[in-house]
Amino acid sequence: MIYQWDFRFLLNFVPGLLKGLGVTLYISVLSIFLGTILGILIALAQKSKSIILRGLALVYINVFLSLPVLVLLVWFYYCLPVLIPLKLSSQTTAIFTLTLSLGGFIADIVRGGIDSLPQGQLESALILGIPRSVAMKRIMLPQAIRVMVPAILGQYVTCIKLSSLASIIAVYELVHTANSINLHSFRPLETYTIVALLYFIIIWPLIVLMRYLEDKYLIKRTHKGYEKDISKRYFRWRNA
Amino acid sequence: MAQCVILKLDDLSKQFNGFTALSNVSFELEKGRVLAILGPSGSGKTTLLRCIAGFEQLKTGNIDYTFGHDTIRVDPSTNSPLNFLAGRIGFVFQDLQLWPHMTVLKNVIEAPIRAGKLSKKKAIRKAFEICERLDIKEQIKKFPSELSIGQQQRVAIARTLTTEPVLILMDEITSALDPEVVLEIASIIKDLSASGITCIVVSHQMAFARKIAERMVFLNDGRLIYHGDMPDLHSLSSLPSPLQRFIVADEISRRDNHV
Repeated sequence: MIYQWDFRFLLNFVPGLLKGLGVTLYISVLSIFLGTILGILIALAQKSKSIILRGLALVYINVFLSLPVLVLLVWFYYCLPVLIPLKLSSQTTAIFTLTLSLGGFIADIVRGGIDSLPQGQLESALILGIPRSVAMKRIMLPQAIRVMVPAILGQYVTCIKLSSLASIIAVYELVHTANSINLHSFRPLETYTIVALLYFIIIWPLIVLMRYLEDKYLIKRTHKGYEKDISKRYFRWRNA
Repeated sequence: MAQCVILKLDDLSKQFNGFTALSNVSFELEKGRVLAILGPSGSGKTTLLRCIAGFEQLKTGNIDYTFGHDTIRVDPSTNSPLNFLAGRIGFVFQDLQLWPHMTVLKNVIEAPIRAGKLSKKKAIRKAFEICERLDIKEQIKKFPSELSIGQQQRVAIARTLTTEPVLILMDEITSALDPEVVLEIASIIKDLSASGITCIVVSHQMAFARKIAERMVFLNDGRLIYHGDMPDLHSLSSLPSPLQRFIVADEISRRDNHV
């Protein structure tokens, strides 16, 4: 049997789909923004001198790296209100959950980026009399960012994709909109194909941007050996 | 003329998590001399150098530095000794630790601008002088990885010279170099010494040490076994046995390489 594709009915749902797309973008962008700030704060806590802060950061990272976002969403939406008298809207819960989850990953990437640099890079600056804060800013951070940026952008892309899970707690984002359209039209193939296409349209430019940033802004400023090293890891498509 | 002592170590010990890296090391070094620290792998050479540089907190003992009219004493109660020593002591790392995201010029002018508070113009003029002296003026716009290993060594030394240190410490800088570059580095070290800078060079090659140094310290298992002039091959029997073994092994490996 050959399936008869027919996209025409979707024209009635264009405003709905656009609204879903808007909600998806809204949730993702807000979660990415808040999650990045949270992640950097947690990474700094983990690098601090206070043992309590370090312990809390470690627990946080381990918990949120281990738990699936879907479970967290359901837990925060259905279980938390039973325990404490606080009922968040489904959209707020989605943003909250994605932020917490992304924060854990970003914290781990930032910590890893700083740890990946040889200690001698800092020591060589300190013995020349360069103040620690200046050395961190001018010598450690520019190098750490090179390691971090690809991984962080990858997490952002993942975060946008994970926002589709918010459909499970009835956030009217793209997937949930598609589910509703199905109830009216009974043509899931067309609907989900269009949804897939919409996700591709949002995310693919980000992947191009990611390569562009790495290529133009970050790599050109470094030296040749480094360029090759990074490009081998992140731009297979270019060097293949 | 009595040479003034620039560095005096007294009963220095250092432990890492219960492992004793250095125990009861004492010696003195006069200004303008070149001292070689020799010893087998794991004998504590690098640890000793890092203690002198101020990277490590001491366990016991103390180090006295004499920089011109200033004297500084570092002992186990000194928190972050680096604060007192930074800028006065130069340190060339085994793997150089040039900053890969900066050009040679930026590597060299970073310290005078950020630590010495020189204006950019003055710092650049100074950098050009130093780079000319070390024969890397042509390379000044390149990134460290575009240079040969010998040129990278020179950049590392140039970066150190910008703060006008009176004491330069070098950690195994010739361990992976071909003989030609080793000779170049040796002549640079001699030049530095001639201009009044005291150098301490960690090495495990007797031949290199003989070429540059007047005095040597020999470590074995964290203990100072020998301190004095470079030993003569003819008076081998009067030396402590670990040093005898070291010299003989070094001679044998050198002759094997020459065949």
